[in-house]
Amino acid sequence: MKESTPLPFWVPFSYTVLVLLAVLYIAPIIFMLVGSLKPDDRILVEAGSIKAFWPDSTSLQNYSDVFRRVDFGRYMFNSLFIATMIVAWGLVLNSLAGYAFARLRWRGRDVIFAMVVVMMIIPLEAIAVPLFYQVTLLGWRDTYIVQIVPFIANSFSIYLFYTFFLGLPKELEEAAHVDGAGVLRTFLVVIAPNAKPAFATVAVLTFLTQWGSFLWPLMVTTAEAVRPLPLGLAAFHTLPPLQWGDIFAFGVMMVAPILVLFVVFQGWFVRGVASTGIKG
Amino acid sequence: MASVAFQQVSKIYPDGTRAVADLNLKIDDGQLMVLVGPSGCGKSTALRLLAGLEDITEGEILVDGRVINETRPQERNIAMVFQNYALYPHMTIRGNLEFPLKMMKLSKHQMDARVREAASLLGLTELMDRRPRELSGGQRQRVAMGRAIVRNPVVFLMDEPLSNLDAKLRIQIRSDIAALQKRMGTTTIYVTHDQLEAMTLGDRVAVLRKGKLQQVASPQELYDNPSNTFVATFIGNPGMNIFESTLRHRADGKLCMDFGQESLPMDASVLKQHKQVKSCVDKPLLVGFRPEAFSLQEGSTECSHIQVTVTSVEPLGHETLVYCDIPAKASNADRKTTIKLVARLTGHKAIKPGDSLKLKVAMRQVYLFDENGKQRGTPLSP
Amino acid sequence: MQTFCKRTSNLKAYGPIGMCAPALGGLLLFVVLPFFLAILLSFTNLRIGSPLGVEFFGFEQFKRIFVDQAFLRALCNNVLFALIVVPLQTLLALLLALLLNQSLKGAILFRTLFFMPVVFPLSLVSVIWVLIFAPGPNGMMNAFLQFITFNMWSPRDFLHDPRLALPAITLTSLWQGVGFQMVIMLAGLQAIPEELYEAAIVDGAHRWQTFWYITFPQLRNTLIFVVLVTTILAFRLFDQVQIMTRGGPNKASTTVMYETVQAAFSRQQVARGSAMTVVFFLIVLLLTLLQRRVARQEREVA
Repeated sequence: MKESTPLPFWVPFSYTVLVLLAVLYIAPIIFMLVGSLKPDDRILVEAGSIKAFWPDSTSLQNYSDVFRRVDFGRYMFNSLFIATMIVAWGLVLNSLAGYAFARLRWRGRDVIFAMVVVMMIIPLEAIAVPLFYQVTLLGWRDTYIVQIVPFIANSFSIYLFYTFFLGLPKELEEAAHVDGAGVLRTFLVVIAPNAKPAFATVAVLTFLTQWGSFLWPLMVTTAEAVRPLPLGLAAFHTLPPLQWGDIFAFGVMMVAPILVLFVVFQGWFVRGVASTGIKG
Repeated sequence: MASVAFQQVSKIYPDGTRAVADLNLKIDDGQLMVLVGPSGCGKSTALRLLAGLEDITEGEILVDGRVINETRPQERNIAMVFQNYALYPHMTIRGNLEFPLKMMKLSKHQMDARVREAASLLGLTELMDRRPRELSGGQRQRVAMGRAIVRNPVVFLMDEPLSNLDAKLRIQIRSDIAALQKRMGTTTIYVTHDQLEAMTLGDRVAVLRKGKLQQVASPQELYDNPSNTFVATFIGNPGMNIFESTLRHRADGKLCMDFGQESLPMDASVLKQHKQVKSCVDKPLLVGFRPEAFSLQEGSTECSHIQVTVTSVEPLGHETLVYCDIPAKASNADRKTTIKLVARLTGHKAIKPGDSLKLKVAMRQVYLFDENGKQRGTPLSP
Repeated sequence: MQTFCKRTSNLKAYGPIGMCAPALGGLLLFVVLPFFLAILLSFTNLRIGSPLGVEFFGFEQFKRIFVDQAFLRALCNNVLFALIVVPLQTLLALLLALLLNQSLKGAILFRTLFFMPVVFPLSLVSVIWVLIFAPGPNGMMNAFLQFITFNMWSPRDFLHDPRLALPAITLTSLWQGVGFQMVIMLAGLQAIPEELYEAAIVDGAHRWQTFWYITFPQLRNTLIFVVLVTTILAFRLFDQVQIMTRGGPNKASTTVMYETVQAAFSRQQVARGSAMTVVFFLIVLLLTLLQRRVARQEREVA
């Protein structure tokens, strides 16, 4: 029990600070939410007052405006499709690789794994330009493929799976081998079902990263038909006439799915992010 | 050096659990008192109450006559050795030993002197610049002790300090601890779940169960004169065998003890020893026999004997433990095991599971307990 | 017997390699290849759509970008940004983690709240804060500052003010990122064994001392990791700049990545962009090596 945890700070002080910060923190979110329900002309005017957080009247006009002005459904579909594809294929490829590194013995394994680990340092931005050039040569511009395929294999995901598989008891596989299962079957039938936390963590982290992907789609797409939500928002944000109510409505709808996912799977999100720190 | 007293101390958690219930215990200055009992009996909690790591719900704890309920743990001048040692992993051994002294704001000179003394006392001098993770279990244990010693506290608390060590090491360090305590003369309270450890270490032993003190006495006293069936079965390896029974007079006037369908006669000598036997006749009783009270029946005699079926055998070389099924109703204070009877036979015996045995019962070694488990009669020394 | 063994050993070889092949293939094609391509291209003068052919350029690209005012300003901005964001965000996150570690009632609620902005895409965050930073007394930030300074503050146009553009972006990033660090540090705090605190208390340590001698050292590796990740993220700064300021006014808020994208994408100067990319990667590498060195000492076991 934490009854005896030494408190560096007093309890009322803690609550005061927390509540204060919480209010400051949630303000922009409430602002967006409320703004999405207000008529456009009132938003700018009332932004400086308490009315920014408490509307006089609410309506869903802005939401219907969004659909009228842009193909929101298309953006949403694109984001969902791209992110889901990356996550799904990523889970398959990266888990297999992680398992191969963790549990199988083969020539060159350690060397190759070391290189995979080193690759974790390379952020997207460091390879965006040449990759851009590469995909241009391949003719992949303005497609879904260009937004999906390069991100399926991910060294960080491989590493997460690797660490997890290392921690599984050897007895599981030994029992499967004795029962006659080959490597792949062992993986499918014995290992994978016991690796739910790893799959959940990787799925959540990957989805989170990919949902907000902005730089890359910006670089490689110009056709609205394949662009994901962040680009749609950025464009919408500069599309005349500048109606903030609509923009906020766009924002609310854009963040709603992942927010819902977050609230429901809160534990996995937090655990996933926290586990990146354990690695360090 | 100080005496410690628990006066009607209780620890009740918010959900109602009584970890410690109305504990009254006095430990004299310089004594080594062992708190022993099964898991969850409250022994560690009692220790932590004394250390100040938990708040006392009811009652008072006194150190050297002063009530310390409201004193902060930092001020109590009590040292504690934790079960998992709790060594500071990021400090060297020297750093670990110096830490409490730093908190006491001693001068560097004083700190060095004390640390050196403790290190040599515990054989840690070569390890001073290492980190805890580089040390073996036994070495870490000694560092934990060292950290407690350097402070020259008024009381030592030890929370199962040996439970993480292997058997041989445990025996070695156990005697080291006993010797150290005698030498330093500091009042020590030692918590363990291992009754063997309790018996070998303590000047006095307090047996706890579910937060309540069962009995506090010297080890021998606990063995010879257990105050209830729990203590009787807990102390001793294996513990006492307890059965439901009744004493009644046979038609011919002889006093007998029921044993299932059988009736074991109790001869006159037994009656002479047990002053309270008369008051126990014709009442539901619990009777106890230590495993040593049984021996193999050879031939037929008039002595009391019982027929048993062997379920398993443990040959230990110098003795054989025989676990049997019996036609009587066994009573086990904790009802955790299904073992009916354990007999300790000297030497090696060629017995197999499934064998049918006749065991001679030394009736004069019977212990009597009332139906609630309270002791009513013990065998006097032969 | 012989053939049986041979067969299984063949299978043994195919299995693992087969399992990694897709992932490794992907990494090879989309990480390793562009990485080396970047280095290669930075030594050329490739420009897509340029009538001139591609030729070897030596270190010329690098020389050029290091005399480019915009790029230098970008580097400067990234460093400045990192120097401000990293300590601020880390301290704030540490504070929150410490407060939340006390098993207060409602801790989970607070944790969810502070973590929520992390879930928001940076692009959305940027858009919201664009409005918060709206100029004039009606802008939320202006109104807020006026309120707490008792009207001493006069409204500014944050995003178009060369001195306030970068700070505005800093605040936006802070808001979005603190939750991320907080969660990691909270996990680090909760990994500290209770017993260490108890031992310290019994040894006579008071509150501040337990923090200094127990909490802080145990948290060291987590802190270092968090600082590193945040610093690297600071150098990757792009989304906010693209949406909120476009690097302006007058490059006051431009960053390395922004300049890189401008070069490679808007101006099709692939080689130049690659050179910037290489510089960027070297910085990240340096930081990572630094972290490894500093963190090496304390791999502790209780």
